[in-house]
Amino acid sequence: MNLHHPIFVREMQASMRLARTPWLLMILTLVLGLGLAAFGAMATSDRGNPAELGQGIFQAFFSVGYLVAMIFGPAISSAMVASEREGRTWEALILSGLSPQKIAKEKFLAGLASSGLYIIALSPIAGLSFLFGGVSATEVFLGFVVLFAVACLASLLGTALSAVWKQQRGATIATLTASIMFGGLLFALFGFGSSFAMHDKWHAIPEAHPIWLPLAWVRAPFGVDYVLLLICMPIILFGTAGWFLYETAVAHMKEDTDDRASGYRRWFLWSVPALGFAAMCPVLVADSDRNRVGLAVVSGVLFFGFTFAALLLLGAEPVTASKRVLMRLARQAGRRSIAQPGLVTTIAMFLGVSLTTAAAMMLGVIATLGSGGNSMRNLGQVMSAYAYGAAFFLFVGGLLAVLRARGSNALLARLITVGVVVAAALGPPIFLLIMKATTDGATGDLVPLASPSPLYVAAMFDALESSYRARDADLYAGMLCIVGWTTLGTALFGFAYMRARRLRALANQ
Amino acid sequence: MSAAVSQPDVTPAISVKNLSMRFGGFQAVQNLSFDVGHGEIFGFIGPNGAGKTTTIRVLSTMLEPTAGTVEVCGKDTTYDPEEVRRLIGYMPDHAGVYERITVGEFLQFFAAAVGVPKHVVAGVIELTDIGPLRDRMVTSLSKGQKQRVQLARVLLHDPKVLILDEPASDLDPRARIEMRDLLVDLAKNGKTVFLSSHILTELAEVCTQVAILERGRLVACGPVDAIGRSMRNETHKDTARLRILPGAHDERATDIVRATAGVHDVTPVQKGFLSFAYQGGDETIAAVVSALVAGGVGVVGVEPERSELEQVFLSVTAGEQQ
Repeated sequence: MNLHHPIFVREMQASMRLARTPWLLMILTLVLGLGLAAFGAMATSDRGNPAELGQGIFQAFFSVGYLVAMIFGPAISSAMVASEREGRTWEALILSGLSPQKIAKEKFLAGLASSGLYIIALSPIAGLSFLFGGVSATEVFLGFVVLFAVACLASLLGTALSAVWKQQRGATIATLTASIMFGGLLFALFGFGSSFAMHDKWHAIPEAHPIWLPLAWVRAPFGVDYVLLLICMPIILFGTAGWFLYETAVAHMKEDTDDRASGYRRWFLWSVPALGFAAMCPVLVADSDRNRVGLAVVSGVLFFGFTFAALLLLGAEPVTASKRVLMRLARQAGRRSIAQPGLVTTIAMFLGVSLTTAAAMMLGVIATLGSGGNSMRNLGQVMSAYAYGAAFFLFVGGLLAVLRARGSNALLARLITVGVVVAAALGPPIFLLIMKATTDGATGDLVPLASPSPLYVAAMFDALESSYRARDADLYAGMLCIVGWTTLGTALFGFAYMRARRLRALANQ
Repeated sequence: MSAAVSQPDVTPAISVKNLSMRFGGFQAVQNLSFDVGHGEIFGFIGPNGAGKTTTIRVLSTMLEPTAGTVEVCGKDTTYDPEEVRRLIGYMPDHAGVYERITVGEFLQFFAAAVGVPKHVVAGVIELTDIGPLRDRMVTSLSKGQKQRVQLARVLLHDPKVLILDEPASDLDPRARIEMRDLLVDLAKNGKTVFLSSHILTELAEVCTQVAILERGRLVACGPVDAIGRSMRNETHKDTARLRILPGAHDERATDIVRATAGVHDVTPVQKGFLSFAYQGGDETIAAVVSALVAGGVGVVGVEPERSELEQVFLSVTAGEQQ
């Protein structure tokens, strides 16, 4: 971190010279300090256990700290790039020779330093929690580590959306809306929601206490479970989310004909295996095969959901890159990577990385399954879920590639792809329901009608649970659809490849 | 020992060849070609929406051309954008300034961003004559002062080519004159100045060459007088305004002017003023003046109703809404 970098210095100057900054700092510190002191006083007068008071203050302080980080960080950062564009200083800045990467980094650091100021101003109040007891000084310190990680993410969110939006007001409104929505969702899911699961796993972690991670780091016994759940998962989740936001900021600081996609491709290349591993962490520490299969399916659904969203957002590239990008790549011919630009190579990379990771996840689950009485059923369920997901994902990739190669613009290609996915997922089950209603309960033979839907995996699970041979037809229908989606996806991708090659040849003439 | 003989720089400062720029279905610029020599002040003229800013954004590497090549001092803007950025100083139209910093801090910031030593700032402050503004907040400056600060900014890294998009728009007459004088000084110091404007009088006074753009196409290019000469064909008519001495008879003057060879329409504008259309250039004007003096009408002055550049512009552009 270069504290003398001109962008960092200028942003800090602009932030500190704002008349409201010291007032906001003072008001926030006073309100939170007095509020927590009053909470402590009231709780003591109620003759509650004073040793538990500290925990309450700890949770209240860091929850408010989370709110401050999620509101102030993005609000400060959201103006940083949009204001340059709106104020017509952007051209001068980008032509000065500073790279978008450097600008994004310094803007992010300036935003983080400004929001960090608010967190640091609040830090003496956090001392109240371990003075009352119930939490240790180490836990309070680790609470600040988590708070700074949240502030980093929040600042990156602000910087990214600031780069996406052209107007400062739009950027601020979008950033605050996103930070309130995502902040609330993360607090509910990873705060409250996860605290119950963590309490089940390690009873020393209090239940329904959203700020559980710093407590878990201190209180949970060290072991493989500790490393996977408390170190690997948070680092991967924070790291990949932060990296994505950084690449978003950098991409949107570049012009349309610059290389806006290489950063995203690099991010995808590394993040997918990392997120696949993170999704496997709960599976690996599950206490029974039944739970392991259930968690593996949930992980698979989340994984394919994520890769589908990433493919849709980042894979719809033009058939070929701009002349400027191609020239840069030609100059870097000595260090080529698989993250090359262009529609076909990008989608091939997305499919390759996603399907390889999914295969590794499936093999990882299979390797940890026991060899008891239900081993074949468990094996069948895991394989059917991952195979169906992979086949359908291959079809989606092929479809998107064809749509783009045939000249649809990126937005239209995305909309058509989403439409086809929704139709394929919901159409067959709806058709099945209609047929059920019209055939007066003769339903058993009709279930395979829903097999083209990825939701049909549930029926395959049922069939595997069932001991009736009649359900074999359901399984065969599912397997047939897996083969069908794979074949269709491969054919579509092959068509897109041929078309892209023809277009490139025409462009080169 | 052999002395190195310095060769004159034969590469144009700016070379545009068959430049086309398309945004979706809209053709913004079509098959544009021109060269700008070193040390020239090149005016880029066109109605709003003609493609001036698009061309300037290609020149400044902010856009990649759909077709054609653009080179600055021999460096291609598509393939060597970083190198081109070092060679140019670009001042966009309505360029903004940062809030809550002084002029000195503003220039120090950009000096650090382009990687030049701090002492250079003092040099450009002196060159652009903004020393008294150094400690003032940039946002508190007048438009003319802000334009000078912007010019100081683009000069920080000593670029060979200055690309200025509407540098005098919104400026008061005094600031406009100061800006014009500054540009002339910079050209004398060897800088190539490429400036777009739709204030034709401003360009006519400083430009060594102009290019006129309409609907994305180049309709005329070269020195103003050369374009004017090339346009003076048999059907071309100029107009001039004649001022005669108070007390002279306007009707008599009208008759004398009308009778002069080369003069077509004569219109009394107000008392003591006549407007007339003519062919034959300065010779016809001289004949008009001689005839009036011989006829006893005192002549105070004759001047073209429009500057040469205005006449050129009106002749080569259709004047349709774009």
